Amino acid sequence: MKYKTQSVAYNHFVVALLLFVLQVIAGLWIGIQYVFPDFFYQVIDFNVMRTIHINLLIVWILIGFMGASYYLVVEESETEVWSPSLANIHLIGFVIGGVAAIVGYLFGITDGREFLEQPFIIKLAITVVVLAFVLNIIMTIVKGGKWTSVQIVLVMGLVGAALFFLPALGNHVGAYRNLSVDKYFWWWTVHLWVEGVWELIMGAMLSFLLLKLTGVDREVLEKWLYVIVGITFFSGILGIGHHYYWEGYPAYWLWIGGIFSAAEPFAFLGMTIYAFAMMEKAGRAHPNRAAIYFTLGCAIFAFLGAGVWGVMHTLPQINRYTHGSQITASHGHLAFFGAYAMINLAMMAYAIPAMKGTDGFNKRTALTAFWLMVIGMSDMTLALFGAGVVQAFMERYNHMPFMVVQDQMWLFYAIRLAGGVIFAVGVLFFVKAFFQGGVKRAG
Amino acid sequence: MTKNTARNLFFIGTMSCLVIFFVLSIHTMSTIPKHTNSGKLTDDVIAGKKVWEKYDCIGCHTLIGEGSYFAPELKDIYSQKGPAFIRAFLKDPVKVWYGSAEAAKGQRKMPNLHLSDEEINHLTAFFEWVDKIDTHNWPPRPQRAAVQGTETWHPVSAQEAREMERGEAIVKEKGCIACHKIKGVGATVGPDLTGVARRLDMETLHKRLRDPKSVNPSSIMPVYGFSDEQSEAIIAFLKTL
Ligand code: HEC
Ligand code: HEC
Ligand code: HEM
Ligand code: HEM
Ligand SMILES: [Fe+2]
Repeated sequence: MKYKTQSVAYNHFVVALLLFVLQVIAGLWIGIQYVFPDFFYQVIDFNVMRTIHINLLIVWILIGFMGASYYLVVEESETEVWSPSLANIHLIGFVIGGVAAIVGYLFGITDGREFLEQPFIIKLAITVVVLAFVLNIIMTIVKGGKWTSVQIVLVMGLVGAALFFLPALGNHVGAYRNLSVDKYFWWWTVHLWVEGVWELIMGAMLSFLLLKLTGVDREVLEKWLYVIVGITFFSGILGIGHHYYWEGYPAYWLWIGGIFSAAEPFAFLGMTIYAFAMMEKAGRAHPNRAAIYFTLGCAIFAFLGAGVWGVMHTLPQINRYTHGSQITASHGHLAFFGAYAMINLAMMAYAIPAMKGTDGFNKRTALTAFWLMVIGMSDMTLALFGAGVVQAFMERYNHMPFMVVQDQMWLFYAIRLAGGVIFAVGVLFFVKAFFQGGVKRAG
Repeated sequence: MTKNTARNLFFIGTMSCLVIFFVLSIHTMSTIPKHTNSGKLTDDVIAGKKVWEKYDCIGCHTLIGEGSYFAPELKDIYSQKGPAFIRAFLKDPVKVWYGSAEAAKGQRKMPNLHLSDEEINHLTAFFEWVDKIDTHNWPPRPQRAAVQGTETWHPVSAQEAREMERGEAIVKEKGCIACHKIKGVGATVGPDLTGVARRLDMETLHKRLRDPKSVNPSSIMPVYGFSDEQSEAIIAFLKTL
């Protein structure tokens, strides 16, 4: 390792991967409860494990982002981390907070708001952790004195993520006692993260990977990075209106939300074209095939999951029938996996071998992981899509009672569970490749 | 285009969008009292939201379309099934929905959360308030045909609520709207079924469902061969029209 403080990145990656495994186990658990409802009924109910599933998701993605940011900033700034001990301390803090939250959920201690179920005190702790992390990143860049565009975009994404977490801190106070007001600001965190600031983080990391894997001209790459994140914010900020259709707000959101969010896929399409064009341009094969697969996989599946599967139900005329249905779950899975799980896995696939001084993950193991995950997730997405179409048509359009329609959809949920099992096996292969630490001449 | 032009466009575009977004947000907040009946946001309703969150109801249900997709949407549960049903159901969900634990075996079902009576009252007040949020008529439900001078019937017991739901399912499945208007949707081959359970007595209704020709020998309505339970359920549903 050229920079020894990059080891803090390694620590973060290990924790992130472990939490990913736990997240998938929790996913299988609730997937089973859909198919066999008596599974742990009244013992650990659906809502409990669902909360754990989505909390672990957010936490491992964030910890992965932290690790990846440390790795990236050190390489870009060509300097050591400002305070490696602060990095390790905030990692430990995050893990303690996360474990406390999850144990709490098992005992019924929850704030009861989707994704933001953490009790107030833990939210506060997370805020402190994130601020410590952002400080450490900024100080490292300042120390290195090189504000490359990749770093600027990354820092804007990280600061934005911290900023938009603040509205989540409120609950049961003042205007938040009104459900519609609560939801209004809930979306500031949820939507402005995944369709705003996180896209900047992803764009910066994608650019970094392309720089490393293709060695193309930085100037060209950075120009396109700005174009892409420009489209992201231009469409994504007002695109928040696609969540404001049916929740007690003025009707102009139907227009604003529909029009601006319909433009959001262009940002993801931009990233796909960008990644493929740069790979093409480079023309030489980097020995780390796994990193290339996950990088291009991210570019493709982010576009499919967020862009295509998102725009599909974003117009109010359609969303009226699909809002809060299995269509939403179908999109949520493919988008989170394609964009944010993949970019993290890609950063790991690149950084771990680089830190271990190998050429890349064992190609067989890593590509098996890649394909099993892709196939498993596609299976889950399509099964839920099928369920969602049936639900939208029978329940929403034809007004049949919810439970009567659910009775018809058992097969879809069984197929989704099968996809989940395939996915989980893929994750295990990735873990294997990760801890092998890569091999010489992987290509 | 150079890198600097791209960067400047990015900053200008982002800033303009943020400004527009903040202005719209301020306006939206100013309309909240109108759209959500803030005046009716009583202490009970506020307490109801807390109970809703304490038990993580959103971990299974959606409410105004947000949450989990495992259990029914509850935005309009108050007007669809009424307070008596909500109270009885929350006391003992499995008994109300399936009749018994045996019948519920292998079925998706709500756990008994052992809510106190006070919590149930708060939740009921909360649902009544949520029902009135102006969501541009979401979830899509057929317009209740306005029946002058008559109250819409609510199932008073949980048993009736379940029956009504089964009846509605049968009516959908058999496609009665191929001939009848139901809640404003359907053809006009047969009469509009709005208020039919008030127009006809129970005896006639049962006969009509079991064998239409026994009421009108030249009836073109199909003979479905409903069992007693089935026609009971259908009538429970017809009563809500
Ligand atoms: C573990 C999942 C779960 C949790 C948690 C849960 N529910 Fe339910 N709920 C269900 C299911 C499943 C149904 C469908 C009816 C059934 O089969 O029991 C349901 C049905 C209902 C119904 C009747 C809906 C209808 O259309 O008739 C109401 C009202 C309700 N729940 C309220 C609540 C409230 C209030 C809470 C929180 C205090 C809550 N539920 C928590 C799973 C859950
Ligand atoms: C093929 C057309 C057709 C279908 C399908 C049909 N009906 Fe009818 N129904 C009629 C006609 C026509 C009448 C008017 C009297 C008659 O001809 O018997 C009628 C009368 C009725 C009446 C009495 C209405 C009144 O005001 O007197 C009821 C109740 C009724 N139908 C219920 C149902 C239900 C419930 C279903 C579905 C399970 C159904 N019908 C399906 C044609 C149909
Ligand atoms: C990587 C980016 C994205 C991620 C991770 C993501 C994830 C999600 C998730 C998890 C939800 C469900 C939220 C809830 O629990 O209620 C959701 C909802 C939604 N998303 Fe996305 N999304 C992304 C991008 C997009 C894009 C680009 C569009 C549109 C073009 C879009 C359109 C929607 C819509 C319309 C809903 C609301 C569904 C409903 O009404 O129930 N998403 N998204
Ligand atoms: C083993 C594989 C998995 C299974 C079986 C599974 C199953 C589930 C289930 C049953 C739900 C609840 C949906 C509902 O409320 O009805 C859920 C929610 C969710 N899962 Fe998974 N999951 C798996 C893997 C993943 C992965 C890998 C990701 C992301 C990378 C993910 C992201 C999500 C998200 C974002 C939600 C919330 C969706 C929403 O609110 O719309 N899951 N999952
Ligand atoms: Fe969104």
